[in-house]
Amino acid sequence: MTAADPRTGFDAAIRRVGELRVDVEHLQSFDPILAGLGDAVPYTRAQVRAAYDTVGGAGAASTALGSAEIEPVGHADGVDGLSRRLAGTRAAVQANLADVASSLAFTAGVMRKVATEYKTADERNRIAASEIDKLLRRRS
Amino acid sequence: MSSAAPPWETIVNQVVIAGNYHKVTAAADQWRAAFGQVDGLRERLEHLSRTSAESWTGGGADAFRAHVAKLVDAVRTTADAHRSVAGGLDACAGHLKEAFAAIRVPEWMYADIQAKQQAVLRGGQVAGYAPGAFLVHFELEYPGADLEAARTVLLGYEQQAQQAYLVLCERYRETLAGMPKGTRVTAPAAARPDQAKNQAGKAPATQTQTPSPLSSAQLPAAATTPAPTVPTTPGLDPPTLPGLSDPDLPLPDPVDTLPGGLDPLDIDPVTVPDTRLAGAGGELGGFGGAGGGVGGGAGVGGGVKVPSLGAPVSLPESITAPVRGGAVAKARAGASHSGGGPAMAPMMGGFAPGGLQPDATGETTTLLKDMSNTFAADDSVPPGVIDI
Repeated sequence: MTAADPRTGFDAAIRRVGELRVDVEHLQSFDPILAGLGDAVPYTRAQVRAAYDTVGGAGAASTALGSAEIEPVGHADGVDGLSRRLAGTRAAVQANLADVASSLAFTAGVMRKVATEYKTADERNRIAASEIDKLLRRRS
Repeated sequence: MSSAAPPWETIVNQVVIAGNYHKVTAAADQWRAAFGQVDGLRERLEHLSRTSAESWTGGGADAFRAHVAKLVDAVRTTADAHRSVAGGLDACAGHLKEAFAAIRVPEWMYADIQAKQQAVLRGGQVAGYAPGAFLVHFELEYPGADLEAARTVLLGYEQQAQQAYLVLCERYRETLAGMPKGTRVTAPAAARPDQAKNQAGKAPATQTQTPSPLSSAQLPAAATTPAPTVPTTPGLDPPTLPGLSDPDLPLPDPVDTLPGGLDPLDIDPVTVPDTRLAGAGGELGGFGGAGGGVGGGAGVGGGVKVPSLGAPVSLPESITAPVRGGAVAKARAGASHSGGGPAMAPMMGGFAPGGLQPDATGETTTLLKDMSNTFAADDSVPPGVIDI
């Protein structure tokens, strides 16, 4: 197994964030924790792709479930077959995970900014909710 | 019931050659592993939120934790809404395995079908059998045999295959009802694809204390960053530009160059290792010689094997022996199987090519004479097609 493997790669990414302190004195550690979790997401996406590709993608003439000509497998447009369900599941999970990774990265940046601007525990505990909300609101 | 099912040969093409229940089971395991990772991610986020509450207090802290809670919900929903796909695939693998056992194949086709299975596993394209091909091959394999008797017996096996096919379809349909369709869940503060470019200069960069190979490319806008640093498995990467042939790989620009039909949300903002079949099971296939592209540890040959065929159909000697004359039967004893023969061998003037096997005495005239009577061309059907 290499570091490129989705399972070991994910585990390694998660392990890297496991030892970091999480408290008000170490608010700067939120950034690497969130970013580290985000780093793990591409491995999960690779795992999802591997799972999908193992059976065979929609659009192919056949899948491991059998030929696309088998009616419940079929993936023609408008046909709700197993192949189509797998493709839909893959697309949704991949998109959701991409969102999660994006959100983690953005949140990590916000926390880095908070940790930089608010140095002491007192300052950090006095941060208004509106200030955090404002920072976490992504501009479109 | 069997009238709605395709011919035997078509069933073998569609199910036995194309299908692979080992792969389906492996895919189920891979989906489970993926959702296990998603669960692990959620637990880490919950831990972050929980432990931060022990010392970080106030409105700002609460707002942060509310944000994380939304993120946790998005992650949880992603897993919970889709994890049934693994159980569904397990069920499909079981149905397919039962179908394999019930769909018998003729013993004179056995090696050829196995070769086609292996070709499919290696990712190759194979030519399917035309309807009636099994009987044609029978004629080639057993020249002079009682074709009518063989046709009658084989019809029973065809009906058995058709019954198994219909059962498989019905069970697939039942399983389909429980398979997820794909639920989109939006995470809080996630960049939309059309925001990806705009966020390039806005999204804060991340800095990890223990930087991972992927961290520098974490942000969606970083998809334009060259030089992915995660090693990829040699031979498995598509030779074309990344992203253009694989929706999971990044594009040079995730918005402007998206090929038609691809969902931009399915494109990873970073290059991830291409491990299509990594961890796809521990059973070693029989394709060690498939080459670097598919024979590697993470490839097809390293993890999945060809499914077993059902018990072969053998016809009794009373059918396979020549209708008239004993010379052919003796000759056949020394003839090799025609496993690699064409799907449809043309019937030429009443005798089959390859049937001119000398018997023990070196005679061939009896064969020609007998077969010219038995296998007369039927002008009512297209050349090479036997209507059974």
